Amino acid sequence: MTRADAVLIVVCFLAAAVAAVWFAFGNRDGQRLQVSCDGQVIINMPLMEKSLAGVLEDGGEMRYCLILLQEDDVSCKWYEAACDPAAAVPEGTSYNLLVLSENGVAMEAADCRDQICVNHRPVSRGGESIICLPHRLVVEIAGGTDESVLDGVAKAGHIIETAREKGRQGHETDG
Amino acid sequence: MRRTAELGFLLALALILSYVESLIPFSFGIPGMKLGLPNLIVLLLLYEKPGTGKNPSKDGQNHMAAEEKIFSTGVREAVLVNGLRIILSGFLFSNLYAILYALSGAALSLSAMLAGKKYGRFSMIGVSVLGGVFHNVGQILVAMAVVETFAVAYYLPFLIVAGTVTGAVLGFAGMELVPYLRRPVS
Repeated sequence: MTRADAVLIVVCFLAAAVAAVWFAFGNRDGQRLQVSCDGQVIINMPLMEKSLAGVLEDGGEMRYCLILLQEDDVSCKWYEAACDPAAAVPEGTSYNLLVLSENGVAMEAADCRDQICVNHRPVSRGGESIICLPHRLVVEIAGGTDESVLDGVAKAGHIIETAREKGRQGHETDG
Repeated sequence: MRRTAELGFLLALALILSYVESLIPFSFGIPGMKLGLPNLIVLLLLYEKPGTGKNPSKDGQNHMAAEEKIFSTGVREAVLVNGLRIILSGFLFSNLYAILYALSGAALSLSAMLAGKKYGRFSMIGVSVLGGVFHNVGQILVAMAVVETFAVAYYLPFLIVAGTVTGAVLGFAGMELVPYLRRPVS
């Protein structure tokens, strides 16, 4: 081990610490749940403060969201209890099953091969995410009002997209 | 002919290391977290004498005479064996996307390792640390491009630390191994 080696190792740890601090201070308990596939946002909804299960207002402890991935279409269905993927998922469709509970958002099940998303810890703070790479699915918690620069850039992109969507809808109704 | 046999042997070894690595649960739920065992083969292919930093090698080439080494070494060999290992283990154990991420991680990692070796003041440990860290960073960059989100960067601190620690340990193991790679004098 040379001195240069030791310096390098220390520098690496410092870099990791800096990155960790930057991410930690920029985020609080998340405000919005955002799910996107291939960069397209498919779910963007606010989460209630203490109870992440406040998606539907009729109470209850957990909410499940089954995301179906077909060739040209991604859709999601909400359930109050865990559904059996074998029954609920049509043939030839990939799925990811999200669960929202007081621990946060987690991936209950998925049919990807590596299952990294399923083994992931539940996420609840802004900036955290669960990613299923084989399905190109990103489940992220958008942060509170203190947004880090990265969230800001992603948000800007999203704002532009929704504006475009609204513009398109406007044209359709006018015609 | 002899070189083909030697490199084939090393490729098989790298594949086994890749498989063993997949058996050891090290990821803590973070995608891309690995032990990096196959990098040992890359290190051994880049080095003969690992160096202590006191006598920096100017051309980064091997110090042993050709007849003394058990297998031939060099950058091309390292690229070949590592590249093939990634493609083959990708077909065997995982999917096309995994191959893509691993190849880009390996490309960045190999460049960093070569640069570190050229610099001369790192021993095999330092070079291995560079390799480990940049492999993980490379994978994150590609993942960011594919899923079009910055959220993946959240894992950077964990991956940097893991890359550093595993790289250091692997480099140390490699250094201990090199004296045994000399062909026994008959």
